[in-house]
Amino acid sequence: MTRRCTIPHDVACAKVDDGAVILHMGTKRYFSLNETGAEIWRLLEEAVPVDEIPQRLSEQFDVSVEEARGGVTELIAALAGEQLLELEQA
Amino acid sequence: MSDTVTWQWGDVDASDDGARTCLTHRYADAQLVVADGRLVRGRGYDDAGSAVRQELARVGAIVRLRQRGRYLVHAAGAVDPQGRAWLLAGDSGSGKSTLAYALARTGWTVLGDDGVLIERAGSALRAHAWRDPLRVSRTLSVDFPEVANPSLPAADNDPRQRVSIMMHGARSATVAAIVLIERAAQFAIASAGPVSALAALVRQSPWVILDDAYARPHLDLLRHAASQPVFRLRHTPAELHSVAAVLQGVLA
Repeated sequence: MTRRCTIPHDVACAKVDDGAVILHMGTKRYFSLNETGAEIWRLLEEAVPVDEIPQRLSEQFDVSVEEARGGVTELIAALAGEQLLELEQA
Repeated sequence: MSDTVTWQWGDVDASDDGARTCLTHRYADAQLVVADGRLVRGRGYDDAGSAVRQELARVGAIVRLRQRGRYLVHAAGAVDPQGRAWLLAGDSGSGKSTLAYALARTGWTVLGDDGVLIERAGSALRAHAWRDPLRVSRTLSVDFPEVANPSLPAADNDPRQRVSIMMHGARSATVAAIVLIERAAQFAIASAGPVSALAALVRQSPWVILDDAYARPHLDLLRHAASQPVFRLRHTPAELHSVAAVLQGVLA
């Protein structure tokens, strides 16, 4: 099953060279992402299915698909837990 | 579905319908309205006490300036003899006023000791004064004896024993660097990476999380600020008489 994530309207992201900072206007909290996390966020913004993200990361960074899958799963769970993402089934 | 955005700041409740922002003091029936770039006195404002009026006016000014692309950041600002602004950002108690005063004693001019307005100026960042009297703790008299002068006005019941000092102020200057400061047992200064700098600037810019039309431009301005030279300074009392040289040294 292919999952996608949507980003709530009250979440804003600012990208910089070595990562990104995400603001949640509703919860009034902010979060930092490193370079890899910021790339995952960028792919989510482009509505890339979650299952495709590990392959994309392995092509871009020195990491296996399996290693990337673990990182992606962990980050998405953390972001969803902070209401920065909404998971949907497609 | 309503297009009105509501938020709170201190004792002020705000309601923003996109055309006007109505500020209401929570404990006094007094209002101030920001509309068409102007502050307009509303219901009960003229009859309210000075503290209530001051709080409404402060929030109103911040909202109005934010709409014009000038954003308040919790930082001290000082201008060096070359006309370059340095922003010293940090939590309360991190030494913003202390370092601003130490710089002012060496001839730098002050934009503010607890808040500075910033705006984009092409590829640069411009800092503007947010003028409050500079307030430093009387305990600083160990290093700067003049602070012990009993004629300096002090706030009642201030646990930090701060006195107000009028210093020669600057109006605005292009930012040379942003310095993220904290008190420490050992001196250190180093460059801060962009994401670390941006997170620190967001932390010192609580107005950025207001969920209105200006939040994203505000965040974008902070991203631009983080692209300027940013340093982390861990300072000790030993640097009070050399902070100007320390700062200028990192850009040399």
